[in-house]
Amino acid sequence: MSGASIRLTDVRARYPNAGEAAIDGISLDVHPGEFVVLVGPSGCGKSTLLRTVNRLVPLEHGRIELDGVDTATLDPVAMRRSIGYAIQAVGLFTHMSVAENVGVVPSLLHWDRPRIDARVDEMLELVRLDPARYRRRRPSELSGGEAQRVGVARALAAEPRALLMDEPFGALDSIVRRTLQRELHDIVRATQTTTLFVTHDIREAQRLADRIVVMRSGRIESPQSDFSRELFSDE
Amino acid sequence: MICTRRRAIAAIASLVTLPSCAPSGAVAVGSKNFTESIVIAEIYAQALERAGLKIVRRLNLGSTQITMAAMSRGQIDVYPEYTGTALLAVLHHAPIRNGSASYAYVRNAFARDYGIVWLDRSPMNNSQALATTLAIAERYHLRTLSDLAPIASRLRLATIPEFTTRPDGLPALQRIYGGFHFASIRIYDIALKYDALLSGDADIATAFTTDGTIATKHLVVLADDKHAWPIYNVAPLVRAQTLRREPRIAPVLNAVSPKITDDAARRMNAQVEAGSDPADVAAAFLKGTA
Repeated sequence: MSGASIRLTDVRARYPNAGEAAIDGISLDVHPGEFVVLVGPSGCGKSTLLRTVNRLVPLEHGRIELDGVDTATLDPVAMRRSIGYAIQAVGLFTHMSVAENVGVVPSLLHWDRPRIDARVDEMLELVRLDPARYRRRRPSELSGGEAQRVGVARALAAEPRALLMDEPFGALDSIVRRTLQRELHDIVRATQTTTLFVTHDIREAQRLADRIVVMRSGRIESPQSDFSRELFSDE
Repeated sequence: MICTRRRAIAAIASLVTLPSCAPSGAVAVGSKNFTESIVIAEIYAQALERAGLKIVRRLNLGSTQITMAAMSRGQIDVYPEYTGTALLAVLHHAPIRNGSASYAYVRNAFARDYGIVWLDRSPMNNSQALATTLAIAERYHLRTLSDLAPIASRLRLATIPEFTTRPDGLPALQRIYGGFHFASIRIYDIALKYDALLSGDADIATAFTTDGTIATKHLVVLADDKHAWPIYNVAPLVRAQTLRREPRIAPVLNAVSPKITDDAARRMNAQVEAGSDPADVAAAFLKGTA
């Protein structure tokens, strides 16, 4: 299954906390299967931008299209089902096995049992956790890196057409982080899932992205601006 | 953690009957009068017993004032306490939102003012939280309090008395995150707020992060990504005098503390609430992490 295109046209939105992390004049074209990383200092609006795509934050102006369809015309709940959303520090369900954790969204969508089982195995193989060994394990029996991989498998299990990730590896040590970055890169390319990924870590952006978008004070910076050059300069 | 007046009086009365100090050479382990405190005290007691120390248990004593009074009189030597409780209820200090700064502050103040040592804190943080069901979390893409803030106006909150008015309750969320104007708010008894969530009468419920129900009902705790709420890490408190006599207490309990996580505490709380003996639950925990 290939990914959706995402197009933002002159988007303005504001977080309810007045003044903070407002975005304005955002236009961005993300191609099917493309991996776009949003970077910028904290408070620049990159997380707010992500939350306009799954309609947690309403638009004040402009429009967002998913595969050419204005998302304002879609049922938000149905639309969110076609989008995966993964974020740092969200734990697995401790009273469920690894397989139940990965299959949790397909179960909510009432997939039939054989289809869920097959999908869980496929996802575990994708994140390099042998299904025979890991299916029945409890989250308490996993290392931090293994738990994170199960989290990635869960985010992809319902075959999302787009994936939104907000600092998903923020809490991990640098070695585990490097490994997961490499794996996520391979997985997302293999599945051709369109991805919008937020980080403040420029190295992480460089490892993952097809394209890096720099944000500052709620706007997209030109790659040629002093600010962007500065950001990429210290290597 | 709320203690009624009648219970407090009963507990003080029972404390009077406690012997003034533990039998020769034994270490007295105490706890407050709620599940989590009792289970963690059992873990401490059994870990110390395995290391060859002689232990007497004085569990289920009462509120923070009562356990602190028992420490100062030498009626107990060790008990589990929360950094946030020590900071706010004992030291009457303003909240410190950073977990390690809060721990450093209470550790120094207790050593100086009370002759009590804070051993290593656990990652477990029994803090205020908002929780929801998996279905609602998926429906609205809720992972953090920042996700919830702008769309709270479409959702119904089940909460407990005082949450909407206390400065560290809903007003704190509105100030720090913005938004957080729920479509409706209904007040429930502490024991019933999850029922409202699970029966579909509410979309969001106030919670404590280590409530057993979170584990058994597969609830989603929304991450406090802007650190609105103080941290309540648990740690063993030991009388400095006792620690001089029995220095082994420190390495034994410091080996246990890192293993007490939110998930572990939820599982243990759920088991005791379902009828298991806290001593058996603690023994299984120590066996599982050995």
